[in-house]
Amino acid sequence: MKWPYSIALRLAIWLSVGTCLLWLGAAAISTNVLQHELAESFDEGLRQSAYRLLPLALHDLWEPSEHALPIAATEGAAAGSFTYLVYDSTGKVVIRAEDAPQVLSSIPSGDGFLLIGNRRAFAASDHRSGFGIVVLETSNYRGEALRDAIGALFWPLAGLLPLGAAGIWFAVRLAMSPLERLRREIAERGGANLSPLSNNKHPVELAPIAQEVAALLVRLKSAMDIEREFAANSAHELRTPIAGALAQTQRLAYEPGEHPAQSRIRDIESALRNLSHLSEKALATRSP
Amino acid sequence: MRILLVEDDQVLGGAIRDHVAATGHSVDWMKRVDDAEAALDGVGYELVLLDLNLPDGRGLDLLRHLRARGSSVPVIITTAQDQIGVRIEGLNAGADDYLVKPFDLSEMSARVAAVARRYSGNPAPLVTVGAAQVNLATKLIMQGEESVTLTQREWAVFERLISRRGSVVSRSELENSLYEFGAEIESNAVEVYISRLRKKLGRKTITTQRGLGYRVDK
Repeated sequence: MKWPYSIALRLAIWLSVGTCLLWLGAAAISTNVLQHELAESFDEGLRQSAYRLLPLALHDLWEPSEHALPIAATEGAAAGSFTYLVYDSTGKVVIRAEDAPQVLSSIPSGDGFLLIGNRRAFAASDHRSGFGIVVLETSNYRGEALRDAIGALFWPLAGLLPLGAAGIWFAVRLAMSPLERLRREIAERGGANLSPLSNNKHPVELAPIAQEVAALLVRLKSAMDIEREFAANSAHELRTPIAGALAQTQRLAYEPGEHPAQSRIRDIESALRNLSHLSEKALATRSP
Repeated sequence: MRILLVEDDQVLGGAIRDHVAATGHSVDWMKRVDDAEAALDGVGYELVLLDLNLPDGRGLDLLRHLRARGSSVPVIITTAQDQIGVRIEGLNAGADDYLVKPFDLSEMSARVAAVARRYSGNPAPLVTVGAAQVNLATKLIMQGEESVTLTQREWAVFERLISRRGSVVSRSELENSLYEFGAEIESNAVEVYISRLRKKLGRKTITTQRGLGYRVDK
């Protein structure tokens, strides 16, 4: 289907596309900020967990009790989002939660974040004992939170986009209604109707056009009146002398008796009739 | 018939006047509205040929004025304006027919005769008067197998009597049909033409109503 060439339609489409792009841009920036904030928040959680778990783990090492594994169970299982392992100065794992790696590929160089496999981790160490702890994320909460946030930003767009487009279409039509009124008024004008445009108050954008059209109609009406007057006068000025000449010729033709001039009179009458037909054609082409 | 021609063009008016006169009618030719109004006030015309564009006014105004006074004289408009609106305006103003210039003189004569017949109450061109069959359109009179030829003035008187068949037509009315303005009227002109008609058509064709005028019976 070929769309009609419509300013209102084009405005509505481009405004809808513009709104959509603006929203997408804003959502992309928001996603970026959100991702950064979420990363910071999750990292802070890892860091705090590491610093809180390390003393407890060391305490368990120095004063063994039945609580070694429950620490892991309590912290890790309760959170459900990370696990940990404790290593000594040689890198040997001395305590590990159930789902933690069994060995460390390398001893973390200091306190800080690192990647183990593709999992985010935070390493903290006790400088006096040489023990250290690595807390690793076990869940994909970070990604899920980001996806949820992105979904919350983009799904309304999908729902609101048609509503927004409809609203834009309505607003554009409303804004274009003076133009439509002016179009209808101009469309009603023609050869038979050159009446002035109504005195409706036009928007400033349309007022000059309406004024020019009104002035044009006045000039056109004046020109057509002159044309009509000229045609009427032409009719009188042309037909009356032809009628006179024709009538006089016919009178001559009625003269009794056959004489040499009769054939010439008939020729003149024929020529006058031709002239009359030609003038009628000329007048017909000038008739409004 | 006595016809008033209102036409300001010298050439056309002259031709119309000559043609109408040649067909047996008396014609008064006026070139201005005020002259035409004065003529209409003084003479009982039987038909008016009226141009619309006149030097001192519009023929339509003259026509409206005429009808406003209650005159029922037949009026044929002759004009160079052929717009439908002007025609309608003319007919609505009380015109009986409309001729657009340039027109054929024989067509004009036919229309004049047709309008006159309509006004006489008998639009048919064939009329029976006694033993004579009269064709008002061709002005041909047949008595049995023989045709009767009338002069223009004889025809003018006879036509006037036929147009009022069954009614008495006064002597002055018949004089009116015979002479236009300025023509010399002989005192016994009507009697002369009546006498000639009786000779050609039969004595009983025209009845004299003493002191009143003449009559052709239906």
